[in-house]
Amino acid sequence: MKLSRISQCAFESSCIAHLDLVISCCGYERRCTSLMDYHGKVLCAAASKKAILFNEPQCETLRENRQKFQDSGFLLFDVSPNEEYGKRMEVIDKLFADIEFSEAMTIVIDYTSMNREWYSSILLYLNKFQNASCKELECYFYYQVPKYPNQKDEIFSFSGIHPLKGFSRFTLPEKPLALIVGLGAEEKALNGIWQYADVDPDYVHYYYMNDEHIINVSDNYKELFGTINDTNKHEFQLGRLLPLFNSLCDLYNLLSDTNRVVIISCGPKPFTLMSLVFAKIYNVDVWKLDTNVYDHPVTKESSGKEIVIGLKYKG
Amino acid sequence: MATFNSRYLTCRQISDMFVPTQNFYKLAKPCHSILLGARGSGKTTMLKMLQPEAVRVFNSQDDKLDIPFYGVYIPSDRQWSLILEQLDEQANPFFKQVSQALVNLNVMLAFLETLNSVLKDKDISSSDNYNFCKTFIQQMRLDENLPPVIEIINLHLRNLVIELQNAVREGNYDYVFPLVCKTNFMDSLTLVLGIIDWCYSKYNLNQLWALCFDEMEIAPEWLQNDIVGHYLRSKNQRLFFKITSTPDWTIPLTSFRDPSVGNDIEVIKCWNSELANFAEWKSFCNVIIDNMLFSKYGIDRDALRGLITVEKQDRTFYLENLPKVDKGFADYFLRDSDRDDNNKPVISRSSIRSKFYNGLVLAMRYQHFCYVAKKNYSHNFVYLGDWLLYSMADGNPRSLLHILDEIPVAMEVDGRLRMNIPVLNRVVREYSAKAMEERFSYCVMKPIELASIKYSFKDILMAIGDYFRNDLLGEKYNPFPRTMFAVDGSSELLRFIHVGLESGALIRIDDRNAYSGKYLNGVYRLTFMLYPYFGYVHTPTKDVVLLEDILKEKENETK
Repeated sequence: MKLSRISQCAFESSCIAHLDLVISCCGYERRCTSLMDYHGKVLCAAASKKAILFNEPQCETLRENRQKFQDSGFLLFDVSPNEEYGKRMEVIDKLFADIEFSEAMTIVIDYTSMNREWYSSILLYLNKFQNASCKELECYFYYQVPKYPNQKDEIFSFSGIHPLKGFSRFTLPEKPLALIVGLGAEEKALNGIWQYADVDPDYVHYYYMNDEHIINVSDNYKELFGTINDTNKHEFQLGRLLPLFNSLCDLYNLLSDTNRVVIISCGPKPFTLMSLVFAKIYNVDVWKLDTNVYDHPVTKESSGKEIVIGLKYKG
Repeated sequence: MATFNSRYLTCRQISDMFVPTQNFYKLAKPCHSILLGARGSGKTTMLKMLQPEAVRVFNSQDDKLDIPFYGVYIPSDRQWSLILEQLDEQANPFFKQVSQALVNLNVMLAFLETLNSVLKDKDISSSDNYNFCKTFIQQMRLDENLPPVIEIINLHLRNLVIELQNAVREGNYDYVFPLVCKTNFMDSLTLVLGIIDWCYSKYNLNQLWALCFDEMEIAPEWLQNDIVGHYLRSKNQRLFFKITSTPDWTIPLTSFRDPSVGNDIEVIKCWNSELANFAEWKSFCNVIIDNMLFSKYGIDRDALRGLITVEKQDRTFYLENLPKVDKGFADYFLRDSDRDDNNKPVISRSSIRSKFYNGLVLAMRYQHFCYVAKKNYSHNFVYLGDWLLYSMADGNPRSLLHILDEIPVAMEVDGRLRMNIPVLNRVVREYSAKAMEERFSYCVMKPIELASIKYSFKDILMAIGDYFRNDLLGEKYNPFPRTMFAVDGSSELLRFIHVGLESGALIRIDDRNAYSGKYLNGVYRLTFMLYPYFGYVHTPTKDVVLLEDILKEKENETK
């Protein structure tokens, strides 16, 4: 199916009154149950509820979350967070199997606790999805903003950067690299990117979230921001992601003639999701950082703030 | 801060700041060459300076470079190998074909660009150009309707890249690869050289061409195998290879592990601050120093050295004063002394075993123990003077440029450089710390697990630095503190060595006389850049420590 519209809306809006399918992810984070916690009634009415269940890291919160998902009637699929691409696609195919397809359908995908391997694969799956009955698919990507911890992750480290499967292509190495970097709460990640990419600082563009009521990451990057041009800094707000999307398109148009554009997101998942949607449309490469977060899980809690992106596909 | 990365600089930009070195003259010889060095060691700059346009620009303003061939600069792409891994080329040969097609197109485009640049100089008749393009189109079986213009051919080849991308994206495994994509580049170029001979014979073009492959270590493995296994042995006398790679490039064929001149392959090593090459490195630094500082501050090299140098204390000073602050040294040193009637030590200079008292080691301990005892000591000369100008960058031109950028930060007052040793010392330490914290701490390496402990690249680097620092500055005096290490047999730690060499955090010791013992995997030290951060110095000690032992000691300390 083809992506025909991108929107941002509130979860309670009437368009999500009836759900044909809910896809979620049960992991170790406390916030992974927030869809049930905040929208239990809507979920009760959903025709089908399925979730991938991460089998690691094994911890008490994972067991508690699993119980909660089962109690809420979710069909669980046991997977590894780092499952290979082929296996991921097989599982996603099962998530979409055994549901009643109609001409217009509504799906909610709660990617709050999914890693980007999984939700990027869902995006790829939707791009290729075909069903004779279904002509219109409205997908709402639900995200629960976590309570950001006050303390830094002191033992954060990363072990590599890889092209994200399905978001990379062979090109001639003739144009200088231009990086679009989504800044997150963990500024150490940046150093790794520098090491790997060996890129001219003039060709690095930074997107940073500036929501005073959620988190303002610009404080983390005062030193960096003191050394770069204003034209290389791009502020966005989680509550206004469509202007972010447009800004990515503008930047791409500015850079792509002279540079090879690559996106690396270290930022919040809604930024990553938007950058993936953008990358797929414009054939832009996406790189991913491998970090050690699974070695020392932080059980992020819900903040009660949610971000919903609507992607409408037409067949 | 500028990156000083020459990969995407134009020929003019590179020529403007180029300083030919012995390594470059070696590279410019008409034979296969393998140029090994860490990031920033000047490999790409040298390779790009072999291009005819770069030579032309350089010769128009400076000494005459005489390069007996046309260098075709061919960049590599780190992503190709990673994408191939993901696409599982073993399971589906289509992806290997795609990769081969991209390499063939990449080489052909680079070759045509170089040819175009050569022809610019030659006042070529349009009919000769027409004949070349027409024949090229026919022989490469490109679209017959393509206008016989080299720029259009170029565009057409680029379009083929887009076709390939589409085939991959759509999973079109039945895609029919055009001849120019599927013919290996050596065969294609042999054919093209024939066309050049036929069409441009009267223009006295050079007969020799060098394919200059940059960053071979990140090229797809099949290409590395093909070049080393086949092409370097090719009988084509007109095409040869100039290859750059990291110092530990594991060339897939054992017979070429140690190529020699007699083999028509010259291995050139770009870590030239080692003792044997120090004079050359120093003269290179001098040219850069003069270029960077004289034009801006009107200061010559000798005057600069005067501003950044602190006079050393002689050894007698330390022998007299160190025992007062350093108990470990006192215990050791006083063994050499006689006792007077009151049982007080009397130092007999004739009894001092001079080899046990290296002046630099004494100076470092004196500074350290004065600091521990909270005594002021202002003669901190160790990381200044010539060490700062010539040793700290450790044979790496990019680091040298960065250091020369930093020196004025400490010394500039109203546009002039003035002596300010305390600030300079601080800047040197901060710069070293920055190299550690920002450049080397985040090198990409999968953690290495030894005895159930996972080590990141930074963990191992820290363990090495701490170990050697402790060897020098530990409570017990060690007259021969070590600075070199090696890795045992088939250890996982070789991955650490690979990443360390690529990033420039580690330097391989080539001089077999510099260490004792035999080590199959080589002997290494940390780059001098990190010495101020860890607080130790290079000593002539030939003992080598096994990295496994360093980590074991670290583990014991942690327990």
